[in-house]
Amino acid sequence: MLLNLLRYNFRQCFISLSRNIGLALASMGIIAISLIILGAFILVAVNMEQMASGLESSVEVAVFLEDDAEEEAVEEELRHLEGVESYTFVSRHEGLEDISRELGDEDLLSEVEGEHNPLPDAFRVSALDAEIVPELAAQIENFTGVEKTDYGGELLNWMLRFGQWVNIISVGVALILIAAAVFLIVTTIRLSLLSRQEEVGIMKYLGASNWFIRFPFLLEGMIIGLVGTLVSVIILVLVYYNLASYLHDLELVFFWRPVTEPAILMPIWVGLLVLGTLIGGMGSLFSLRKFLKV
Amino acid sequence: MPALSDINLNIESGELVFLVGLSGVGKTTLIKLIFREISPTSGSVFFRGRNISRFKPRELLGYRRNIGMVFQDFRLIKSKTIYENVAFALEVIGESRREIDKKVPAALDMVDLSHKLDVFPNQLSGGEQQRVGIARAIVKNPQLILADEPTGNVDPRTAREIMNLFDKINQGGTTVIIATHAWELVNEMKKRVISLEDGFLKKDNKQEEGYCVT
Repeated sequence: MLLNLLRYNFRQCFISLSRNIGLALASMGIIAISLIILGAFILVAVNMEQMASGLESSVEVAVFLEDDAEEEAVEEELRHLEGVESYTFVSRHEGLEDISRELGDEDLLSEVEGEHNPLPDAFRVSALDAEIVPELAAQIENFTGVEKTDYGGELLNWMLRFGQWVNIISVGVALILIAAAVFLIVTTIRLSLLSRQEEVGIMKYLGASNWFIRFPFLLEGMIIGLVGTLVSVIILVLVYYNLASYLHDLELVFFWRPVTEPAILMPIWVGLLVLGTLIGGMGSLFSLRKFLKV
Repeated sequence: MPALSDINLNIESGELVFLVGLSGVGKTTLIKLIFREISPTSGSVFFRGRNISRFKPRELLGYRRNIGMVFQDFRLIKSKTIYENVAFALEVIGESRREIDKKVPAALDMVDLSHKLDVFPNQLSGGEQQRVGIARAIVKNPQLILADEPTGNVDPRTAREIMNLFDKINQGGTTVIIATHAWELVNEMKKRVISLEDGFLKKDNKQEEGYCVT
């Protein structure tokens, strides 16, 4: 009996899909487009997060000491400061070595070594959390013996703000597009209802339950949603993995590699598919709402 | 002004009853009340002692599955063959394929259309289409058949055949209620006749009287 019902439902729904193929394709298209945009935003957000956490782990506060400062006293204070994950002492000599290595200028080392070294002694402090870095830097600056502190403040602030904006915009755009998709699906299902209105009326007189009548339409909406989303996921996957491997080779910034872990990406693909199917189902239930009253 | 008022009726199980009256006197309204397509603004409709207005959705479904409806305009599904149209009545209530394959030919045999199983409705005459409609109504073996102007769209000779078919179904024990304004046929049948006029019950002639007043 269940098999009969399923066969009946699938047949009905493919018949009406093929009758209104134009509108069905339009609905699939808008679902595909909206979920491509939503998916793209999600991918950007995921990568922003990855970037931020990469940055977090690499953000350090450079603490420059005054010339006559006592290294141990500052270290003692750092040890008791909340939010500090670790710190290392960098002597002015080591600092100079680092710089000349980074600049690739060995001569620098010999030229300004010793008394001519302009660098102060310093600590490199890493914070437990990127968000507290500015505060931490301000606190450390008040320590006796500390000349000044420095960190990638600009970039970090920008990243954090940008990440928030990306989230807000993506949610907003996604909502608008989903509303448009639902509207189109409602229209599609309405049309397919209209073309079967007589039949639906007869079904009611024959004692069909509301769910029996609803199901083919629900199925139709869900198939539209699923197919549309499938298209969007395929496009996203193709574009994203190609782009990711391209960017990966470019090695744009040291603290970020495009996210390619299946553990992170799979839930996104599956989530999009589920969402698309739900949107389709919701659209058809919505258009059936006032239709089924006998 | 209500479509029907002051209607007091009792129809026994196994009766064949004609509802007669001019167009617009409320015959269809009464049929709709019995099917609970609409509910009375006051008063009640009882089926086997139960108020049908109080049925829960599931009970209402069961009640309607126990009623076969026949319409003036046949209401067959044009895209389905005769066989499929009759089978559909069983499909929507979830009957198994085996039961369907057993019951549908029997119902079509009853209305004498066994030879036209694979034909589509628009290839049939009005009378044949109505016989398909009747086969669809009886295929689920209902206790009650409600027919709203079943002979309204067919010629007089076919109308007589249709009425005889209802008589035959009724003899099998099914209660049949037919709304019609085919006076002559009704008078020939010698059955109970309920006459409506302007929404009121004008006359309720018992079976032995069996004629209608125009």
